[in-house]
Amino acid sequence: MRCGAEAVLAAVTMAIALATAARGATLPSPVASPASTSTGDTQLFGPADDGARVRPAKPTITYWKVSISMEVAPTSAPAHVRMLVPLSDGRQAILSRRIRPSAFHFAEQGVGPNLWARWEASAVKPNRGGIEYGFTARTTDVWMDVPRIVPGAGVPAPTGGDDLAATDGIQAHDPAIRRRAATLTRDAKRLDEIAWSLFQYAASFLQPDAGEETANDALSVLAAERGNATGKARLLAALLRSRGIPARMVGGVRLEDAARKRTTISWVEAWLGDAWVPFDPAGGNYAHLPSNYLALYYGDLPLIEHTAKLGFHYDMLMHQVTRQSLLADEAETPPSGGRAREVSWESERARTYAFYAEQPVASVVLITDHTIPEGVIAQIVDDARERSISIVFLNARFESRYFRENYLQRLIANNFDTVAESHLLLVSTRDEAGLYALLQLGEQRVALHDARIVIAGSFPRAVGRVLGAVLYKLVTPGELVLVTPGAPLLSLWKMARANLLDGTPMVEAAGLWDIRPLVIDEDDVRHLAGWRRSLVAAWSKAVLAQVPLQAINLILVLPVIACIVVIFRNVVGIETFGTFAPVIVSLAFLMTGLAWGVVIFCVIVGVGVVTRSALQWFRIQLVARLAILIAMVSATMAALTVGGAYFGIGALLNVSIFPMVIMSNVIENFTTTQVESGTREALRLTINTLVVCAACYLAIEAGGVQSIILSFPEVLLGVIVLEVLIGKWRGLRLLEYVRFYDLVGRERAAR
Amino acid sequence: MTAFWARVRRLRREALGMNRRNLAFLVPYNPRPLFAVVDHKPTAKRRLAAAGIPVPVSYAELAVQWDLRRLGEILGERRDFVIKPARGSGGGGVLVIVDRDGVAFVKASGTTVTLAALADHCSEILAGAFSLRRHADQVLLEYRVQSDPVLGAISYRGVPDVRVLVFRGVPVQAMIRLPTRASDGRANLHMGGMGVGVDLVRGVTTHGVLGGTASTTHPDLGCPIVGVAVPRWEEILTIAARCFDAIPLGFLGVDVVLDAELGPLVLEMNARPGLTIQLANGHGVRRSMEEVERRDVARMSIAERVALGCMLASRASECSASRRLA
Repeated sequence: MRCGAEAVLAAVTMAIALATAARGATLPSPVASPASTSTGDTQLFGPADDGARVRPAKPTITYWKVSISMEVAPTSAPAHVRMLVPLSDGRQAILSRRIRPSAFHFAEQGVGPNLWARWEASAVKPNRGGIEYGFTARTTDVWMDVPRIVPGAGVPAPTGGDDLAATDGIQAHDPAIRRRAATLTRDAKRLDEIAWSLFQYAASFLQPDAGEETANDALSVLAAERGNATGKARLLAALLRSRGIPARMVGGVRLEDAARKRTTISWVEAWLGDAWVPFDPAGGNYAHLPSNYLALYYGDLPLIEHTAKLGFHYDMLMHQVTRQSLLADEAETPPSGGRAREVSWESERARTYAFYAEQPVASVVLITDHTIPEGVIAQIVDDARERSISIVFLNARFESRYFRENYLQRLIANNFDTVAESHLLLVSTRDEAGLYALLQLGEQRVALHDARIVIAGSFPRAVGRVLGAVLYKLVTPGELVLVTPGAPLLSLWKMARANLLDGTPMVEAAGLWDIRPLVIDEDDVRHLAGWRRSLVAAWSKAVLAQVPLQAINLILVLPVIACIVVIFRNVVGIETFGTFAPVIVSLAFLMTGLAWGVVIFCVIVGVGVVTRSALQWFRIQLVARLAILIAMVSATMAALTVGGAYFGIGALLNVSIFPMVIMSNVIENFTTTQVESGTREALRLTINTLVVCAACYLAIEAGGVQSIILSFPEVLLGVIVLEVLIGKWRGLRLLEYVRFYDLVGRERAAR
Repeated sequence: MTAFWARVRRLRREALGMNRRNLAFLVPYNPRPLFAVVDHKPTAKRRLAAAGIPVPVSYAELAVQWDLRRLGEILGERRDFVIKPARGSGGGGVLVIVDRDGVAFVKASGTTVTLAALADHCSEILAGAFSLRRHADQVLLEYRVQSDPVLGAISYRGVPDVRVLVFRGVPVQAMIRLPTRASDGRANLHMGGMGVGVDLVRGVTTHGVLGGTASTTHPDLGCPIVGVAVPRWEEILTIAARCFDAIPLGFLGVDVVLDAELGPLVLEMNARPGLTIQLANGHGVRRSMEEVERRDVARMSIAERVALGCMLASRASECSASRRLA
């Protein structure tokens, strides 16, 4: 079923080979020409003499900023676009990536050696079709030696037979190609001789004239004796392969300062015994790549694929930058991800610090919340500096768990590459907020492979085991260590450092600092009980589908709050406004924090009650009156939000969480109670409501109930059983003992 | 400390709490469909009247806003009447007009209102502002009860009523609800009305409770409220017991008013009676009710049921008194 769907999708997916559009590229200008002498009939193909090649003493390093912007025309049909994006290798490093949020669903997918960035949408609305993908890159030039050995010696190509196969574009087994290759290399014995003759042959071809339509497969290029960059590269690859030398195509772009481009180029890499050696016949680069060549992908592929019949346009904007400006840029990036206005107050609560060692032995990302004292951070940073460990420090100082989680997530998102490339992620938060924040890495499909993750915080170990398994499954780190209850950050740092620098196993190192770590590995994930394992799989799936676990948390925690309300009502005997208004309001409290939650509640109810009393004069009917109350409540909430932004009170920014309709009902209930039973009674009920909300909040927040439910959803069954028992219970409510206490003592006075 | 626990243990045996009220008495004895009958006053009144139980006369029932245009016409020359919502609760939305002053109407508090203001008030009622579940409602125009002088003497304006707790047709406890200044002429205990327990056998008031604390004098008038003999007590209990035959709700709070001329009239009924009545009487009602549950009250005559109620009530109060003496 699924395969069928994919086949259909593939069928409608039209590939556009943008590389073929590379007409009008510059003519080849062989710079590094190896010695070749011609005496009479005999042609001698000399190998590239290392001394003769003009080879710079040290590599040229250049820094670039590239952004690719795409525009998809509006359509009502599902649309997807995917693009091959560059990866770091020995020659180039992708320093940062920036994916602008768009109306599309974004995902990255690694296929073979390449990385696809994929955008999908079920429909594209007008003016919502923009996609931007940017990255900064460091590229160096490369000069390689072609080994003077006979073919077949050395190590076989690591990629297997693909690099020798014939394809539609690279007809390596075609007799014409075979013949020509044989002719060209008749006198060549060694690899360097073969490579040079084939390279020179392909490089000597002319570019097609402007506007000329030519086929660019190897055979056509051979026949026409002209071809564009891709054509020549294909021909070279075909010739190499026909001689039994593994060769692969590389798609890339020739970077230029302040240029706007739509063309990619191709070159060839041949496996010459022990390494992939680049050959760029179109650019005349023999065993060499200039520093402005950026490889985007391997293979004979189009750069971009998209749904058939999609109106699509793209271009690539590039700038050369300096290393300094790149670093400065990174440091300046505000934690909020761009809106500079918010920075001033956000920086109060959230901050980042980065130290990049010149020749780092390792890189560490430290993620903490408000519980870590400044001095400890300074100590760790100094320590890292001394040992030339690059350290990036992300800190969100919020009391409210919701905010902490949110801001840590944002900070991680903004320093995504640093986090993804670090060797050690050391997370220390008061509770499991840090764990949740890291799950976002899974959402972005980052695999950390050999990186170690240490997460400290106080949460039940059983919860750690389940959520840790989810994290492990998502990001597959080299080692995942949970420390609960949290340990001093300094000890954690020492433990992690020992592991990082000396390879001391964490468990062993932990003993020294009296830390009890919980190591999660492949086995743990596999040995979870069947049902728990499917649970972990389910939550991982949810995260992969971009459903944050916090959302599931809120859903699952609702019944627990409802149960608390039931206990308050039927066992304690506290009456509230509306049976389940406290459920919703305490959810809002979870997001604003308790103190601000109460303040906001009181302000909204206060304004509402004043309005409601004023409305009394106008004698407005009930439903209309409720609607007016909703308007007043929403105006108050908007004002609170703006006020929050103005005075830098983060909690107020989440006012919109407060359920307007429920609040309006609370106000109406307040007034009705006031009229029917007096102000005192109304105030009493308000206070009761707040007390129950606060109790729910504290129970959920303090008990870590959210994570417990997430790890053990079967708790909900217990909740239901408890509710049945309470619903059947006939005893006196606690407050009724107080109320009726005098029933026994008062009679004496009467008699 | 032991005294405290002894009290707690006694409370657990004697006091009726909300949970038990709901599970043991409301759910099994009060069939859902009948709630709608008692909550809608005109229907309840018709049922009671059909069973020969005295109720205040209805002058008119208004169901749509359009009727309000004819309000003046409907009122005619009546000088005193009561406007109330058909589904009101706790005395909300009740407007008592005691006289006319030219074109204006005089409220119980002495202030005057215009006919337009009356119409506005009716309009609010129709919109459901006072109804239990905020459904659209009807307006009930009815006879204004003039309080019996004996009870009138111990209440601050307004009309006191007698709340009789009737379980399976057996009156188990009763109290008088006295309006105070704070309750603004209403007899609602939440609003600051005073609850005064009545000895079922003798019809004499025993204790008062005001806002949850005991009191033996009226907060505004200063007069003692204990030891007052309620006139026509026998009749009040009988009427309350008969309500069960008209509307078979097992657990019922019957509000009886004592009109100076017409005697006891059933003002309204409550299918979810409150439990403060226990405080006003100084003893719990649970034992009496459980005793009633054991008896075969279905075969008893009304008089027998009243007698049973009186017997159980006196036993309960004596029991609690003797226990304290011992």
